[in-house]
Amino acid sequence: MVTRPIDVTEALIANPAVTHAAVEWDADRAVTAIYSEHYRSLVRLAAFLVRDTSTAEEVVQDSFVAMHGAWRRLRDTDKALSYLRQSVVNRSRSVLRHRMVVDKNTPKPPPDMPSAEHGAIIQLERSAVVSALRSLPDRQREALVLRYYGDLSEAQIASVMGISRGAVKSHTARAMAALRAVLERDS
Amino acid sequence: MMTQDRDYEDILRRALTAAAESIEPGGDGLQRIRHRLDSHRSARSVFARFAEWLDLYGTRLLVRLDPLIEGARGVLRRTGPLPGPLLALASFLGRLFSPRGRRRAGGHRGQASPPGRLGPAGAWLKPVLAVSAAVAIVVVGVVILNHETGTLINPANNNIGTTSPSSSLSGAGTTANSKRWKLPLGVKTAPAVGTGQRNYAPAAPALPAVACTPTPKPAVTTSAPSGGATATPTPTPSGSATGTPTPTPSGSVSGTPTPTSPATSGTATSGTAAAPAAMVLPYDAADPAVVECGATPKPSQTP
Repeated sequence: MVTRPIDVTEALIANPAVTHAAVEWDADRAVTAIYSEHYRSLVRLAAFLVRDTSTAEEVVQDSFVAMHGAWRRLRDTDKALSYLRQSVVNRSRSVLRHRMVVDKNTPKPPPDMPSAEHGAIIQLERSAVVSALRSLPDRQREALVLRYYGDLSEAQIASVMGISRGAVKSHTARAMAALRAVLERDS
Repeated sequence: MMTQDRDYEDILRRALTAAAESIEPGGDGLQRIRHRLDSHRSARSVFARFAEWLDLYGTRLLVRLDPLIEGARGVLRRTGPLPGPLLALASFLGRLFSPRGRRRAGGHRGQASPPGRLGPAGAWLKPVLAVSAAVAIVVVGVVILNHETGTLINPANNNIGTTSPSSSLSGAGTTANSKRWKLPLGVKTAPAVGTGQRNYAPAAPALPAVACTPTPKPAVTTSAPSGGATATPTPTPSGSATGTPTPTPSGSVSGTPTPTSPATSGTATSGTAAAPAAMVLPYDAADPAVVECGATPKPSQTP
């Protein structure tokens, strides 16, 4: 966890007339600190969700920019990390939604010709588990990735996904059942 | 069953970790983030500069309009609420152009609104009416402001707020005088003699002894009791204006303006026919020298 100097936050809270430059400086430092510690894991998380590394990087960078803009409200590294995870999940959903619309309207390539996305996905499909994970619905895949890759608790997953804890349990259980069925069938 | 689930969980965890190890993001992530932040900052700075400019010029405009606003407030305070016709016009326009009225008429967003009360001509009649009403309101406001405050909107005149009602509302008596009379601060005008109306006496306010009891004898003689003849009128009432080329309404203001002074009484009541058009106030604005009946003003300081 990145420890952040308290004096800046205290100054922000205590002195309402703190300058905009101080906030910017603080946000810059926070971005640098969180980047060095969590950027890679966030990109991997996003890559599991959007199934594309370069898109995952774009998503995470956009999330960092948004976090920088919202730093005056966050003022805390823990909150910032939670904000980043939530932002990554939401932006990944947007990417998938956009991709779905684009796939509907673009002509499909011939079956023997691999798509551009296929080359990026091939890295993730090294195991049957990941390929089975890819076949799951988006929400179930999010729940599994956050649970077993991000090591988040149910409450944290519920916060990141914007759903209740019961819904998290339901998504996780259904995803595990579907995954098991796929793996048993393949084996 | 439970152990089988845990096995699957372990398998999934290990598989995800192994797959994630193979994903390596580019090393220029921080530079790209900073580049995006800089572009955001530049866009924000443009907006911030525009906001600053707007703020600065808005403040300047408000400062310049402050006398006008104060004058309008004063006028409103004096006249009370809006006059009836203006109020009726404003309410009519509000009813005519209110969105509720359009909604009641069945208009829906994205649909063409029905003709309404004004018929099909309302489409072009409403803007014309709105513009003409706005112009009329502005013209009426400017006329009222001009009428009430006189020199308020004239930046060349610095006597803002010191004009008397007699300067603009004077009756026929001022028609003889081409110049406007501006009373210095502190000079009291005499009340109307024998009338219940407000005193808009044309030439009398300039002279301090107007309130004295009028006597039928007009005075044409001049006297210089204390100061003697002087070439120019002095601010003190003791100065005689006999030798000056500038005409006075009744010849002179006596050195001791007692109520029985014939010289002043003639001035106050009749305003002799020999009174010229232009008059020179014998008072200085800095020293108003309010002289009332019975009061003895200080004699001239000249030896």
